[in-house]
Amino acid sequence: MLGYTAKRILMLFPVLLGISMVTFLIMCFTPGDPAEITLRALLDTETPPKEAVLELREEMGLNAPIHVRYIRWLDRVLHGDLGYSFQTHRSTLDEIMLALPITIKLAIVSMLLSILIAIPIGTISAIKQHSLVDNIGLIGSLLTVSIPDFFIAILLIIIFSLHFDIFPVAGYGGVEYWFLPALTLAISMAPITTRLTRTSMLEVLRQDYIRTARGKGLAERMIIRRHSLKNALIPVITYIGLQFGWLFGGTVIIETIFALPGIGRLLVESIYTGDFLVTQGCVLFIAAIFVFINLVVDVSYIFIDPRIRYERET
Amino acid sequence: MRNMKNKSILIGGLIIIVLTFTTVFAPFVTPHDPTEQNPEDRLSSPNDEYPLGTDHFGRCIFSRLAYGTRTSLVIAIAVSAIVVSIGTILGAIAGYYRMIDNIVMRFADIALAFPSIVLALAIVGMLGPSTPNIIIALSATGWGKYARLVRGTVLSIKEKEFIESAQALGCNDAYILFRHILPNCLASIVVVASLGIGGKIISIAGLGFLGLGVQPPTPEWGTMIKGGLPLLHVAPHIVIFSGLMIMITVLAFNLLADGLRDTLDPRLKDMMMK
Repeated sequence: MLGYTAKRILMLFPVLLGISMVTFLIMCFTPGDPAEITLRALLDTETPPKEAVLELREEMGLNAPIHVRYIRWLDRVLHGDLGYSFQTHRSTLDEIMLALPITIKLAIVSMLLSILIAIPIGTISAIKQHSLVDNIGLIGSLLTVSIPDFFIAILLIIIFSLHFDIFPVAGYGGVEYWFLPALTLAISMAPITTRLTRTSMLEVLRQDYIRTARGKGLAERMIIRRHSLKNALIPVITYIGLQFGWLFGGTVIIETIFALPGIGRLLVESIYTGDFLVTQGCVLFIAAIFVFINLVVDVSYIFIDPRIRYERET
Repeated sequence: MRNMKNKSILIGGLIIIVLTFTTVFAPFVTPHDPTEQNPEDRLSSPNDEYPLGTDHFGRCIFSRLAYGTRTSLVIAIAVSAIVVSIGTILGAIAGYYRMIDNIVMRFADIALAFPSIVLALAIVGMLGPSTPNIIIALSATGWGKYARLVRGTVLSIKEKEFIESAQALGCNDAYILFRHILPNCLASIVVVASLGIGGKIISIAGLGFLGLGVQPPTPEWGTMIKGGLPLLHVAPHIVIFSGLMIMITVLAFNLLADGLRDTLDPRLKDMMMK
């Protein structure tokens, strides 16, 4: 088990290195002089003195060949220096640290909501196959996967904000501002989790140990709760973990619609204003978080499911 | 059950045929020019003159949606063609030659490490929103999935006896790869690609919705939703019809993929979840 975990962690390094290269290259193609941008932020002026710019260019090593620049940039990034936002004049890292908790909160709430929707429907669909719930679940999930999340958001705004006037359209503040964005993401994530729960549950219900449990006269409710659900949820939990990683990219449009100042909105805003150091920082952070979550999911999988542990170690 | 698969292929296929027809014959099936502005008719609800009403410039929404099909389908299919080709070739090479397997697959890992919309946004933001740039941006991450899929299939087929006999007959690697191995991967590629087109259409609309998609006045569904959003309380039909159009199109490709998967390759069900 330790061997697999170690191997998996080692594999992380080339991927993280690749992510940093791609992100660095994106920055290289952007218009504008990073030295001038940084000085504008630091000195709080639109026209920093020419000599200072030249000096900083030299200091930042912008005249060096690209691979040297990359290594120097990587060194700075590893020391937590992602440059400055020329919009707010704050450091990119500060901006991201301000935004990240909001995205994490949104991701957790919407993940919990989607579990609340998906697992009961999936379980009932499996126990009562071809019933009304099963059919509605099937058609519902087919339709929902086909709707872009931003359209789900707009439909929810029409229903809950414009028609019933229960929740605010957009903004950031109390609990009421979180409900619609979280529900939107939950609805867009739920269909696949529902289908997966159903498939996995059906699979488990066919197993011999379920027949044994029935044979010894155990109540059906006990069989479902004690024996089936626990086993059926293993692949579902893994999938939910992966979805949690996707959420850090998936919240981009939703945060923008609902004006929640998370990392997704920070990314979009930085693109609108041409604040490229912030864009770079956001892309780097989102990709790194995504990779780390995948790692955790992958490793925890072998802790949850002994069968997999055996398979991967041999 | 068999009936179900055929039905979903049939319905999905039928919608796609109608959409393709619309794309090709857009000038003949639309009542108005998609960019024609009629200020006196602005924000009108669906009527005889405008089947789906008009937007804030008095442009015919039906015509714009029809032309928007062109934008979305052309980009989605172009992106799919690119990512399928790159992914298939790299995946096949990685699966067949163990020597470079590790290198190619680490590149695939890197491509898959970016949530696609995030990298697409950054690339479009950097290069500027135009059709070729959107195609590049959406292709940048998409190929990784196909590389993994094809590599896996190649690995399992490579050990089969018919490959061994082809090698014994003295066929060269390229011949074996293209004539014996890749045709066996085709079913899975077709299924994943048709599912992928649906996803691409959503991404294109997403970029449009953020104002980083195909630029006006070219009709594009996501951009139309963005334009209609501030008018939600006076003219909700703009947003609703555009959203429904995206939904129907994506649904068609999902139905097709679902049906194809059950018919061609039932074992894919597990693979696609991962």
